[in-house]
Amino acid sequence: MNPLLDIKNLSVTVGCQADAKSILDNVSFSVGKGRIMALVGPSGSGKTTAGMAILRLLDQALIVRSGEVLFENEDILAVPAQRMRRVRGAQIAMVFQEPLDAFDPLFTIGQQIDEVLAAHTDLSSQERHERVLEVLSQVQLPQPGRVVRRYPHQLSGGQRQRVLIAQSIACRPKLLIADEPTSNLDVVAQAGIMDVLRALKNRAGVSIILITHDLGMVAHIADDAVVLCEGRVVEAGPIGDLMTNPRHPYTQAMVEVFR
Amino acid sequence: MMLEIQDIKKYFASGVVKAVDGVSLSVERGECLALVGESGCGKTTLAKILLGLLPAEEGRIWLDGKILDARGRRKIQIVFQDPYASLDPLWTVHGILSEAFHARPGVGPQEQERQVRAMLTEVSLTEDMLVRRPHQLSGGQRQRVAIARALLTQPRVLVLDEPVSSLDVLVQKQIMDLLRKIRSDFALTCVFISHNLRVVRDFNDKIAVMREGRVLRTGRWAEVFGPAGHPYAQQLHKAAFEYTT
Repeated sequence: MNPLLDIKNLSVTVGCQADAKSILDNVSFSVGKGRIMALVGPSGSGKTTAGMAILRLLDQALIVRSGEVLFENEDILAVPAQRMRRVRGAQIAMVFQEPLDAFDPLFTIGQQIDEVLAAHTDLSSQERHERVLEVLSQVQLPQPGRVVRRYPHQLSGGQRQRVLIAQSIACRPKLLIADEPTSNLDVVAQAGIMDVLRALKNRAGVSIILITHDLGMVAHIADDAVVLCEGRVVEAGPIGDLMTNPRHPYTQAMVEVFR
Repeated sequence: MMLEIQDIKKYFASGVVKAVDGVSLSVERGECLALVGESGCGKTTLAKILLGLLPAEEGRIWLDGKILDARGRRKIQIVFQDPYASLDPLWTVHGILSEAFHARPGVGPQEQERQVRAMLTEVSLTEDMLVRRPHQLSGGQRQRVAIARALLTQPRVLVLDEPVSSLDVLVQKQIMDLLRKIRSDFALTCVFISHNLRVVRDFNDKIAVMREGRVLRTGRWAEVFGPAGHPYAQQLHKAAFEYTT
């Protein structure tokens, strides 16, 4: 069976000179349908760059030098910008690390989720409102009718991260890229977000790329993992194999810390 | 008793938000007390009161048997969570470390220089870093500078406010190894604030679990998180360790 996402030989550099610094070097990995794939590695290893490259949201200084990003067998690096806007948000969505930065502080939660639905669907105003309440329930937020009227600063960090996930799944994407979704949260809120991601996979069949350096989280919910170091894939495979028989020194050190 | 906190209260929004609500704790000389709990439970507010950065509504604090005053507060130092925000970006490492001697008037320039270089070695940094500014250091190196700065004041109590939570996993381990070493080298009394029970487990002698401004349970690890522990402490434990494979 073809994977949902297949990245082949993706290379990204800073600038386009011949001696430009490499951020991603010939990176290849794939994500199966309904699987959670963890992208792990130390700070600066290229994890977030890989996520942003998939969505074509790279900083202007970062240049894709080569490679393909096949989403349902279509190279989304080569599609026109207008078509990419339809893919982004509707079929592939991203949950950013810092939810306060991801929301507009002047709009209510309801308005911000509604905006995504209005941009990507033909739903009526009433249908959109119902969908907003539905996704807020899906991320296990109590009293969604009250949450829609709140502003981002009126919610806790864990609630904001749940709302961000709700916003990203509003259009029923097939792939969710979650970039360090729990690193700013306390342990109780972290466990709650893990439950939400697992439920999305199990109940809605969403594939997830989980970008993290937290092996505890990876071991808990991921099916597969790719380890990035200095922009290169140094190890990849099912999470069980990686935890029991890590081969690369970085993976070995991470597993050791986790134990 | 090195540090004794009695019935500290701190309210915000005209008393609606009880950030710290009658907290009493004590820390023996050379002991390390962990304050754990969810975000917003009052851990950092309590630390700010200890450091004199926030006034308490009520309560008293004793340091080494004396009521804590402005002079005594110089003997309590803090290492903040975010090494990117806690160092002045315009200063060199040398300037940042030398500033610590403001809390220790009477140390001459030559002795200051000797102590700065000795402290660099203590925190595993090299002398070539003295001329660098914070943006030229990695996250782990910045946290080492913050720890060195705090130690140069010769504190009686060191408050560590989530000292590794903004660092990646392997750097977290390096900084925790460093904290273990300096704790032993300097016989430090510490208050360690964290929501990460994995980090707290091996470092602290005593744990205090906070929730909604109150201390629910204080004791050794097994007393707090064992079968006889408070249900909320067990909930925290489950959230932190249910990831174990």
